[in-house]
Amino acid sequence: MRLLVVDDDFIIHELIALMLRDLTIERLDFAFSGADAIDKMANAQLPYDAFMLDISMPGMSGIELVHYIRSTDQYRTAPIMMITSETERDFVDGAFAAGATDFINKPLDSFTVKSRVNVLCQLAADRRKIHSLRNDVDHAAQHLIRPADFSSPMHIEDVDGFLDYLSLENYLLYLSRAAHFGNCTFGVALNDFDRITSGMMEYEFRFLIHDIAEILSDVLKPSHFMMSHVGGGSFAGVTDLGRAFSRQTFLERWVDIAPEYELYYGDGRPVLYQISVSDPIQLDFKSQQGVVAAMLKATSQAETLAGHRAGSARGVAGNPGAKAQARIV
Amino acid sequence: MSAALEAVLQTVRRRFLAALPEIEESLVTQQVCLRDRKTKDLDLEEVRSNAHKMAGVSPTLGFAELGAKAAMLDRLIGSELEQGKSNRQEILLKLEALLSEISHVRQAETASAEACSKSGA
Repeated sequence: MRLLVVDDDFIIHELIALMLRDLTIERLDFAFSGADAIDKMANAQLPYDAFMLDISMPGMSGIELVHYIRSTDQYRTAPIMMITSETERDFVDGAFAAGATDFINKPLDSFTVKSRVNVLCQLAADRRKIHSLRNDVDHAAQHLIRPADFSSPMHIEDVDGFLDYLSLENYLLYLSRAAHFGNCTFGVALNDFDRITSGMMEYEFRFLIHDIAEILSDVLKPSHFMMSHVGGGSFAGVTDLGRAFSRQTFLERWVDIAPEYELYYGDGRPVLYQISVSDPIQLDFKSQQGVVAAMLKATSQAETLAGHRAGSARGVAGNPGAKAQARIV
Repeated sequence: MSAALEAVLQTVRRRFLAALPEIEESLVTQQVCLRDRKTKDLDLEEVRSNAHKMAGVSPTLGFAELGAKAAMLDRLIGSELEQGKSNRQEILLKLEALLSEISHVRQAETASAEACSKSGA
């Protein structure tokens, strides 16, 4: 915690430093007046988490300083403990009205100071957590209603067989050649991608990709497979079906399963879409690097079949080379 | 209190005692003003500020009586200033009591320091 103590008496500074020496306080600063405190707040590299203010100081009083602190966005909710003496009891109401959090009486008692500042630390920690959560919520809200960014691979949660693209690449790079034997890689891409995603918001795109991932997962079960979204409307996969993988069989299963999932835009319109799937590329005898290259090649083939412009939409490098086209409705 | 903490507290206490003569001098100047009715030079706010600070720290440093006398003077001047009057006689009495206690504390500390010095020699 970063604490600023404001009191015009240097003996109070020394006593408080002494009393707080056992607490975990990252930074303890002292100011002799309101003006000095404002200067320290303005020049602090990191904001203070809490304040201890003497009520009675020459120039700007402690209550005026509370008003100032509360008027800044940064310290609107920062815990403020007032240091008061018996003769200043009448000012305590004013301090609370101005926004003080707590008060402690002079003469200072070591145990009381420690325990009250400990509570101040906890309040400051809670405030930091709330601040962080609020930032996350704001960020998430802004993130979801902005126009979609199609270029990056998307993290897909809670869909069997799906993992992040980099994790899939790393997995393939770490597998031995023997482990690749009997496996094949393939790509799947959303047809007419630019039209379908025109004007889409981030959240709509995320729902679309997630739903397609769920359909793909159902289509590929019960084989052992791993797939990733690679950006745009494209997916890359690896399955142990090997030579048994057939584009025809895949598409037939897709036609059976896809209608169970109804995909909609945010305004309620149904998403009318088609997909293309590449030919499988067998991974037998390929090096680790070769396996990744084959996966990208299959993805590029699917994209070409789907009518994607070369290099459009997704950010992962591809290797275009279409041979055939397979579409479903 | 641990020995280390007590040692640091002693350092703070020494600094407080080192600052006492200056405060005492300022209070004596104001005592003279009060006694001789030198209104022009009288600064009750300064007297109060010194008493206020002393009341705030003295008990923590082991000078409970000094803190009590300073608090009485602080309260009295605060109340007088608030009501727009100044009962000079009452303030003078409380100020003299505080100065007497300061003197007592300083004498006791000097005696203690001399005793320590002798036992050390």
